[in-house]
Amino acid sequence: MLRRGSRVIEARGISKRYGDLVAVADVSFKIGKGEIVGFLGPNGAGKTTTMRILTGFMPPTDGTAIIAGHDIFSEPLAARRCVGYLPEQLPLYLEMTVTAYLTYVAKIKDVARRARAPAVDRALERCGLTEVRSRVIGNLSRGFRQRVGLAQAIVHDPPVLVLDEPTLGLDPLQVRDIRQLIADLTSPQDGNQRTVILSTHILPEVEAICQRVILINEGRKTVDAPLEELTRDGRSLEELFARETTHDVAEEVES
Amino acid sequence: MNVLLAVLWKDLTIELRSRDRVVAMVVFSLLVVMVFHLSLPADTRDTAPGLLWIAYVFAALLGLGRSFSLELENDAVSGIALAPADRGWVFLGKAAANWIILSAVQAVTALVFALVFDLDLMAVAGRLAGVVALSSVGLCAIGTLSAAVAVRTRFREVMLPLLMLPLLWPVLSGAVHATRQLLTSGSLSFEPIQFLIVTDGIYLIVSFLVFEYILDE
Ligand SMILES: Nc1ncnc2c1ncn2[C@@H]1O[C@H](COP(=O)(O)OP(=O)(O)O)[C@@H](O)[C@H]1O
Ligand SMILES: [Mg+2]
Repeated sequence: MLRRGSRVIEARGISKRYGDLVAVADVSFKIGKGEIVGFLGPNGAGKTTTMRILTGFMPPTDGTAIIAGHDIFSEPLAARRCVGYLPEQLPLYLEMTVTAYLTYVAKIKDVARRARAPAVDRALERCGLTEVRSRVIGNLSRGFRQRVGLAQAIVHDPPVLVLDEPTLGLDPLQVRDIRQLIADLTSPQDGNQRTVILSTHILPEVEAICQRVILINEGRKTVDAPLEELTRDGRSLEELFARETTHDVAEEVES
Repeated sequence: MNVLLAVLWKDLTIELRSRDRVVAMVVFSLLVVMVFHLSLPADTRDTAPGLLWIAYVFAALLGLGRSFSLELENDAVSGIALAPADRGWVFLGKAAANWIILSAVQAVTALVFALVFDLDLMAVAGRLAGVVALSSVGLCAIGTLSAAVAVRTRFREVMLPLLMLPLLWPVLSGAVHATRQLLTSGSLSFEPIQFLIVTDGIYLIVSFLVFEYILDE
């Protein structure tokens, strides 16, 4: 059993190799209940790979992860049940209506029959989708599709949210909306505090919603500290990012 | 079980909305029937069962290839891969959807086939449908599994038939055998049916178990 405030996500020496390429090398961290952690790193650092492992989408080559007390190897189904995952590419079926799609997700996430309709309604409402609920997903704008992506991640009310680049490809207004939405989803309202790990290479995003930063570069964890500590004395995340990541990539980010 | 029904319902919903897969399959298998009609002598009583099954296999190849590209187009596969259930149920849901879609196409094809080749299928319609439905279980099991493998490869259109046709051989020979018996003598013995039930069972169990490992990269 988990104690109050104890860790909800734990990565234990996770490594992932694709043939000769080491995408993730011996990454470990612990995330406590209610924390919002920004998972930072340049493109190709291994963020998506790590997140796919945490969600149980694919097994690590080495190491393991514990989600809400369930090991992804020994209790894969229980671990999957506790995770809501927003992949980098939205897992949508463009031909379905928003409601039909969310109902489908609730079914495969094993939400009990009677609880399904209320769960879908709640997800629609929290993600601001009530007005477009009977529209076909293929006809929605990018911003609304992103909301549907978030809604499918929370429809089964999981204690853990894994969000991979949740604002990728959105315009500035949509970015602001989605950030607000993520902040709302994690507020300790109705006693259902969620733990969130969200990946990004956009630094202001981290400053806007995260309390803690984990930075990886070329598959290795290089920084793991509270945001406060990293930005104390007027230091900026940009400097940190530039210092801790491979040089050519850092230049790319600055420009 | 829930996952099976959810995936089945989802695939059929999408199919009903877009219909392009069914339409393509029907048009294609009818064209195959037409080509046979133009290129073969009028009396085809002996070859009819084989021809009918060639049309069915072509239709199946076309439809099954789409079955998983639907999932990969938008990375929706992560959704089904993360269902808290054995992934075998996802497989059975997709195979069942393919089976229903294929059955609809087969019915239309059989009708046109009978007209074009002037066969009187009315007397054996029920039993013929039974044989076709039974054989198609095995066909869809192997086909759905092959499609899941093929969709990850670079030449998926080529990979699907290369994987599927050799594996299909036992069920196809059983299907053609039973169909021929039915069309030539108007009766059906138990052995071919028994053979089809056994191959269906083996295909389903093996695919159910193997599918667990296919969705992981
Ligand atoms: N399926 C795959 N096969 C081979 N290499 C991969 C695969 N997925 C990712 N990689 C490689 O692993 C590294 C990390 O990728 P990724 O986790 O997607 O990084 P990020 O999400 O931080 O941009 C990259 O070099 C990428 O090319
Ligand atoms: Mg990524």
